[in-house]
Amino acid sequence: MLGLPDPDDVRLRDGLIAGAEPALAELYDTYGPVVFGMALHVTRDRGAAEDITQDVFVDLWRRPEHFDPHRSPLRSWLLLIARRRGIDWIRRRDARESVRLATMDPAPTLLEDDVLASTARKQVRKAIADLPAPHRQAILLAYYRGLTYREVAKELDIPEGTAKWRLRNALRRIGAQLRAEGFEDRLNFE
Amino acid sequence: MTDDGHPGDLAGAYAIGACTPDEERSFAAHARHCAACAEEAAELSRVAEWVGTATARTPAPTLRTRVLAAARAARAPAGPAGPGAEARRLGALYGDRVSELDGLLRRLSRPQWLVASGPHRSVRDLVVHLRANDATVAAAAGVEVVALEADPRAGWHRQAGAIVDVLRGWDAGLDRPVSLAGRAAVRRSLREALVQRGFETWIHAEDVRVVLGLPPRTPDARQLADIADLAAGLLPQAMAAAGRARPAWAVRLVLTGPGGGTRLVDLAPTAAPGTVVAEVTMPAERFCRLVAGRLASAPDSAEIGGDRGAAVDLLTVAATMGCD
Repeated sequence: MLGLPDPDDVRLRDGLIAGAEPALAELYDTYGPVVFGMALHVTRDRGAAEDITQDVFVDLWRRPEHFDPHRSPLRSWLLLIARRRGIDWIRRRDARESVRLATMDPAPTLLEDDVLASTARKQVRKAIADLPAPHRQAILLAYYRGLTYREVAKELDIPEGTAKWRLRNALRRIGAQLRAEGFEDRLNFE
Repeated sequence: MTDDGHPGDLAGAYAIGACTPDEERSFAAHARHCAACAEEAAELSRVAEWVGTATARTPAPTLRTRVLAAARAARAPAGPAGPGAEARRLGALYGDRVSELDGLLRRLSRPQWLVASGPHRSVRDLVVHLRANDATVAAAAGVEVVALEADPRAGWHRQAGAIVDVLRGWDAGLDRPVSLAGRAAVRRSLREALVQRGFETWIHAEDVRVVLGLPPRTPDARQLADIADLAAGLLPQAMAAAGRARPAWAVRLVLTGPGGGTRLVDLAPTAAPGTVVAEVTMPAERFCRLVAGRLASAPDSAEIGGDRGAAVDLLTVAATMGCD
């Protein structure tokens, strides 16, 4: 499914394996915002997001061989780890506080004004905001809360088939809108 | 499944990791043979990445300082010398294990040298075997192999010490291929062979500790991590050699404690990553002892989630890889 590894990812990983500090700094400067942003978005807690960001980068620095450029691009890999850690954090917190998972629509946070947001990011946010509400709810629960489509179905009280279809359709709609706006496979968000 | 036999309705959930593990596995297996489903999953994964990137936020500048300091504390950066840094690091770890084993061997009484140790009939045999295994790496590192000596400890120690000395001044990469020690002939980099030397030397020190009635001792976290990485990298081939290959499947190996971390291990040698069907959780130190063949029961040594058969196979094969 994947093509050849990204040469930049391979170069960065080699640098990290060799213990080169400039590679560490480049890694943080390139991906710090996506990792921190994802952790912040999932946890909505600045302290937790900073802790998660630190853990993600320190872990990769300690064991760069855990990242395999043949499996996924570095950006996707870091995003996945930041997201998982964020989801772990909210689950631990919810367990502590016995808070039932709220069925709120997290969209408002997603659309929070961020003066630093690039046009590309704004376009993505708009594509999510433009989704029909049921689609948006499903994708946000699955993506940022880590629910399986079955849990999404239960949470929204809809059939499982509907939940699956909404996730697929939501991604397709976002993809179609962004491609129409000129997004291509390799996109520079910086 | 949809009517046409494609699990395409799962593509969205699959792209954002919202399937059950069983479905994730069956979807990935299907996508390996179905270009249409593979293409849709790839496309939706790209969209998922765009969505993920959209939340990017510039962190406070203080976080950069904090993260870089924490990273430096966790693992010291290499000096400007560069290419030889890894050799010196591995050489230092190996040197520690050599000194420790040498100290233990010096404490053995004459009768204790004849006591069975690990899988060997005597400590003497063990040391002779270790020296023979070290010889391949000594040759690859350009160490002049010293003549056989009457005293097995002295012979082993002279050769091991020469390897450590050479690594101290090493100024190149460690990529040259070397045969690893073991029943199956496997060629890997000199780097991996050095990790294996440190591993085997540690395990034999543990064997000698048993003879001396001393408690076990754990090496440092970085060495455990190196060993776990080496073993995880060798496992796909070992699964195939053991006739237990499961193409397109993988196990998530969650190692806890010092040297811990999460690794994905394919259950067959393959270029394409397999789908995770099971999760195996255990302390990194225990995993290393399992790989060394020093744990009694493989399946009981870990917590298993998901496909138990696949996990048990992995643990069983891991237990056969180890140090004679």
